[in-house]
Amino acid sequence: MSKIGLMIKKNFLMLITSKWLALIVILGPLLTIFLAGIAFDNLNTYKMNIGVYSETYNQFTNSFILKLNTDEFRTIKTDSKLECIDNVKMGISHTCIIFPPNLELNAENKEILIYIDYSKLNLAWIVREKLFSRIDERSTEITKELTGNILSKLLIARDEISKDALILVLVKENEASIEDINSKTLDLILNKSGILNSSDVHKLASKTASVKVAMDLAMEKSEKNLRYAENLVRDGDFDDDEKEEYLSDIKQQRSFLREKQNYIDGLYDPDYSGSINRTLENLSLSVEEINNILLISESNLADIDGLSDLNYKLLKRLVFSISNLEKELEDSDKLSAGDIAAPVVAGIKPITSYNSNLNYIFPTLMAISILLAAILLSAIVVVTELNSQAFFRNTISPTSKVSFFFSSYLTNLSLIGIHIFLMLNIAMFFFFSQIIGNFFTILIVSLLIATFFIVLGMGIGHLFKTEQMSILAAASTSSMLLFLSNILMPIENTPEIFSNIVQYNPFIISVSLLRKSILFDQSLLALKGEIFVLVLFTFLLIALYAVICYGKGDGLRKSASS
Amino acid sequence: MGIKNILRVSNLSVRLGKKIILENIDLNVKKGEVLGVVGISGVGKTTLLNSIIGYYPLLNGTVKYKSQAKKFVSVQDNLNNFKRLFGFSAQNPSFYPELTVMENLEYFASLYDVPKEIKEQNIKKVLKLVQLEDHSKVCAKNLSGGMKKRLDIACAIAHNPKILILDEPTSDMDPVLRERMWSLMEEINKNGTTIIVASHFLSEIEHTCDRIVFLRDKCAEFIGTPKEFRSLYSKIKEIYISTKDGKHDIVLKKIMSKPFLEIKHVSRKNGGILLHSRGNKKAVSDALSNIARREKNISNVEIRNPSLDVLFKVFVEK
Repeated sequence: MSKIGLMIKKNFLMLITSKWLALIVILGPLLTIFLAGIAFDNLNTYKMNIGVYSETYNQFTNSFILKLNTDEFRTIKTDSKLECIDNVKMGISHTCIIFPPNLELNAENKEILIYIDYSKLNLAWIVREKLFSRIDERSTEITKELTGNILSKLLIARDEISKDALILVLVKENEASIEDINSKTLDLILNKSGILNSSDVHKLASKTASVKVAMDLAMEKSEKNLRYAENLVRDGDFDDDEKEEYLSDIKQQRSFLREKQNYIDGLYDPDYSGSINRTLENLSLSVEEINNILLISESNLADIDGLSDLNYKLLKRLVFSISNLEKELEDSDKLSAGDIAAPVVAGIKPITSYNSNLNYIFPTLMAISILLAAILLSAIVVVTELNSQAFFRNTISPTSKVSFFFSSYLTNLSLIGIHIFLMLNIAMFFFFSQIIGNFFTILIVSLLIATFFIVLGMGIGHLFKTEQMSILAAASTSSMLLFLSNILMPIENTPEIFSNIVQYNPFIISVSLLRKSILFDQSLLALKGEIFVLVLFTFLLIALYAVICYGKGDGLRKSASS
Repeated sequence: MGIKNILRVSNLSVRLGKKIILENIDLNVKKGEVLGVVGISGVGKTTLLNSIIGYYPLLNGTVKYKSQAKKFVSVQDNLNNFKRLFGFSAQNPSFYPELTVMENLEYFASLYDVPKEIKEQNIKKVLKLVQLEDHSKVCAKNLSGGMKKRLDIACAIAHNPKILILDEPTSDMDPVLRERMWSLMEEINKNGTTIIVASHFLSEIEHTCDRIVFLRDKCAEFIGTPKEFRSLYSKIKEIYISTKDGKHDIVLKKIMSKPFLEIKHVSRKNGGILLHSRGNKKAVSDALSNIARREKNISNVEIRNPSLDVLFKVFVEK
């Protein structure tokens, strides 16, 4: 046991003396966990770009877009459906939503199409779920709005109806009042029908008889006066013409008087009896009564008129209310139950026409394969060369370090090239047209990616003394690159500032380049941005590599001391 | 002398890490000579050789070589040109074990941009020289130790360098192989190649090297021919005494009681005792004759000139 203990102690001492190894073993996991902690210590999804397009935007469409513009999503309006989809292919946006033109609740086409890029592995499902939930949310809001609307209309209708019912009650009451007043008026009239009876008329006749006596006396007196006037004229100092004229007038007056006498005589029938005064009194009373009745009737009629007016107004209000209600309910008429239950329909469409999962994961698989093969192989090749017996002889030769660098690079590239070629050939077995259609671009992109990771691996190989350390460092670097990519967790789950940095992870760029070239048939020109970044990184690495090489003074001391 | 210098090392000081390894070394290497670099382990022989080829940065001084324009130019400033002039065989063989002898030679020759035809001729010649013609297709890792060393030297001379630098070429070899190796060096030297060789084996160096450089305490303490070195320490005599019963205590006591003998070193060898004396040759001879006459137990007494190894030991211990 003590022997094994000593052996373990020896192993630890050997490991501790290798500072780099200690650094990798201790700091590697710490750094990985630290970075992962910063990156993924949350449950959020940060600022995913959503491309949106609709032939015509309306309030309804905008309400959806507004709903999407939250902490999680940033919408980008595009000018065409193609641009929207291309943006997803180019990685400008994570997904594309196409709204039907003139999206309305009762529109014929109300399907919102969500274009998902399934090659983005787990992100695709997250985006899908999030967007569905957002659209569902808005849909539910609309359903709530609609239901609330209908319910409020029903409440209004209920209120209106209850108000209308009151009006009807009032109208009914008014009707009753009118009827009552009518009957009362009728009764009043009917009850007062005996005001002028025969006795009254007799009484009126006797009265009129006395009036006749008085009239006769007046007539007699008038006759006397006429005779006196005639005498006066006859005896008066008037010329004949004047006398004639006056006498004629008096004659006419007499004749008129007699005519009136006759008339009065005719009027006074002996059959008439009673006191005319009383009759007149009664008549006066009756008239007064009638006047009262008329006054009451007038008031009743005024009441009836008022009530009728009120009834008219009430009925008018009722008509208005009913027509309003009708109008309100008219809008609801246009909606079906389906419109309310599901105001919009969301459909999912893949961004490409490929329907195999292998298609979607192939670019990522290929990137992982190139990453691991290139880093590990080149690190091993370099460290093997550095530790080889022949390294010393190489370095004392007049051949430049650049030549050795290129020979190592080309060795690795040719091996990785074979690796890539084999992968593409195997892939062609599954999806021939997809690969062959853009073979040149895929090959160039793959070789560029391989170049970057080869140079990275060579740098690692140069940095570490032993093969084991180099492999460990290469594996740690690969893990780090993989970890801070979309492979395990979508980088969209990391805070924006972090994801902005991490998107320059060469592995993410590599996956993106392969995705675009394999799945979306993008040309080299279309990929120039990402290619530029990758090439720039490669040159930076080469510069760093040169610094490491020269900084280590050729690595000659290591060789010479050995 | 008529022999011109090919390399000039002036006031060379080298520091590795914080430790100064060599200090103020002045040395000229003559064209066509075999120069031996000698010194105890760790004295800086390898450092000197590596500094000469521009491998280590110099703390001080210069290393210059005679260019094609017959002018001495700095190695550091013209490293690439100088690299074409020398071949180097380090202590550990430096070639690809996975490649065959021929592949290794072709590869290393190609690093020197040797034209194809010349390269082929060189390789043929070198293979013959190192006696690996029959093994040209053998994988290097399958060669014997001696063959590997020869292959390493072959790789060092495949581009036909003017200077061949060998660092401890016989360190791990048995005497037979060592002899062959020195013969090989002589053969290479005969072809006009200047050789600088670092070795522990003074007796072998004595036979092969035209001149030797003794390094001690960071400095080149002696630079000259082996003969010059020997004459410098010619006073030292080696005395070997053996007794009949193998007991030397009484004899040794009697010898040590004579201070004029100036005994510096005593050791046991081949059943007898070996002493180094700085005393007068005649006085030593007389004294030993007297002792031998009186001590009947003494069976043999020899007085001889010491080997270079012995002188080296004395030189180191002085």
